[in-house]
Amino acid sequence: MGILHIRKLKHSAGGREILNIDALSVDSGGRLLLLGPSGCGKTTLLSLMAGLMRAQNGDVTFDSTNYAALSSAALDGLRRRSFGFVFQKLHLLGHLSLLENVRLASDKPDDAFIRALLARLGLEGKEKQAAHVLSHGEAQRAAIARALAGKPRVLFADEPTSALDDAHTAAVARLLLDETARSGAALVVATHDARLKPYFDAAWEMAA
Amino acid sequence: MKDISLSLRSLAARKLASLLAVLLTAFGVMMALVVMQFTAAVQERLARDGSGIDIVVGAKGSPLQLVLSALYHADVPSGNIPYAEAQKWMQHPQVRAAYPLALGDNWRGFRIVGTTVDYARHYGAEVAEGRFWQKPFEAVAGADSGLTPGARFTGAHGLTEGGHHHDAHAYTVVGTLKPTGSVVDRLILTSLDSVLELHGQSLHAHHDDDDDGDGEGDEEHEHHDDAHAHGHVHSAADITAILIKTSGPIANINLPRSINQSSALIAANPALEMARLSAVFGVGTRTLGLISAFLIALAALGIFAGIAGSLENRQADLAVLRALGYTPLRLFRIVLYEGVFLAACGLALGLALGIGGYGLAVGHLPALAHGAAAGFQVSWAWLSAAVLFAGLLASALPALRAARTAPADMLSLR
Repeated sequence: MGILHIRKLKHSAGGREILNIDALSVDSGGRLLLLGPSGCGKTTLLSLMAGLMRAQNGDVTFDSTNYAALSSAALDGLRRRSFGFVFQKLHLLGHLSLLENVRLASDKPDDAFIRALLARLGLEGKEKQAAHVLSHGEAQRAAIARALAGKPRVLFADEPTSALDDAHTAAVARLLLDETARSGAALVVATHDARLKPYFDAAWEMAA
Repeated sequence: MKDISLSLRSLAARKLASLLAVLLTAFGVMMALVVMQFTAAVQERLARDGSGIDIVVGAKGSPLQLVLSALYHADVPSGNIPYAEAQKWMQHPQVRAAYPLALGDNWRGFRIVGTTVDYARHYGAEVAEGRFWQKPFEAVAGADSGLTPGARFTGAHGLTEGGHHHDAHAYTVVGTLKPTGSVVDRLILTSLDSVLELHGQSLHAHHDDDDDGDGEGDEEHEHHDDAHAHGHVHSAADITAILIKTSGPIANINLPRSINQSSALIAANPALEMARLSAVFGVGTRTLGLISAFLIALAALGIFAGIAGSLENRQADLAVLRALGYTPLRLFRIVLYEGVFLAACGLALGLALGIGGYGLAVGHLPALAHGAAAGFQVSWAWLSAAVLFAGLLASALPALRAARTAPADMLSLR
């Protein structure tokens, strides 16, 4: 059952068409890997699907709502309510504590849920630490916790593993899959990292 | 996390810059406040000292000097006037009240003023202890002098400390006055007789029992006790000035004209002279006001620079918040709160420093010590509004820039 659909999407940048997709869907609770080399437009595609950017041509709909019909504030609200994000550079707010970073994802954070989530991610006892003193592994898991704290229906991850060795790549992939499976969220990952391919049933492969 | 907490946490993350912005604002506010309080106190003081006195009559010379010396006791007199001549004008039909003043001596910088009891009453001075004088060389001391009834002192020649002492004649303090918040607090009052006798003059022969009688008859006598203090006897009694309350506005115009035309005296209008003076020292006040405005503007610039500078490092933070669904309006508010919060802290600190600092400074300025405690003034509300507005303005531009952060900026920031 599709929850997020793309129809007849065309997008150009710098006078060059970088996306031309007739149809692409993400099922509720489904997993989609956008795989391709740098510059193939996968990050743009992820941005368009997540409502971080507006489509130039074509439609993106989530849960029967066409983004084009939403005001900018309504689109912000949709992201806040329904989507979670993991960025390549994590981008925790350094001067805030780990817990404060995680709670940023929601206006009414569910603290019991967040406590359990942090415990599963092995971050118990680190809640009060400033984000800038966390180790890279801890920060990675904190970023994943922030993405899940608002109980999103779709989790978007942009190059979540590109800087990691094989063992850590496997760990992060498992974490993303397990947590989305637990919450029933769909997972969309954009990456050039072919090591992630085995974790997904299907990959949307893009050429440069 | 509330938006305001995000603002505060961001300020706390750059404590030094925030502190500097707060201090700069506080100094500007403090200076403005001190200038405002000082100006208000001086104006109030001048108004109170001058209230009810329409004309000051004295020897030819600068009218401003006359007003300063006779009304505010802030300058030396330009000369003396014959008491006989003075009396002619004191009895003029357009005069409602007249207070003759004889100056010349001081005790530790407090001027000894020969006058009538009515002069003290004009300023609402009441006896705190003791009574008013009844005979020569009895004195009543203003509240600031620190003298108490029973004390004896000798006057020193001149109006500031350190003159030659009239050792032959000691005054006896017979009473003290309650504080009035006026110039009387800093004076020692006595009868006209005392001051004139001390300087070898007398208003009247011993057989006269009041001091406003015969104009020319005063000439030749002879209070020998002080004649030898000076070694000579003046042929006529001189006083220093007269303060006059006229019968009305028309008299205010006519009387000085007649005095100036038909006698060797001059009549000065204190309101006019002080208006001229404040036109001059108003420049100083305005300059200080401008400097405080400049300081506040500088503080606003500091707030602007601090916030705008921090935005460079916060682009990623702001983009993350946008991606997490923060609307542009929320980012605008978060950044705006920072400027307003800094301005508000600076304002609060500046108000505290300005009020406290002025209180301390006034403790060392006897002339203002008994002035009404500087209470809330409407201008303070304007100052506060202006400072908060400056903070708002200083953060509005960076806030607008923050609001323009696009959520997809996140992805280009790797």
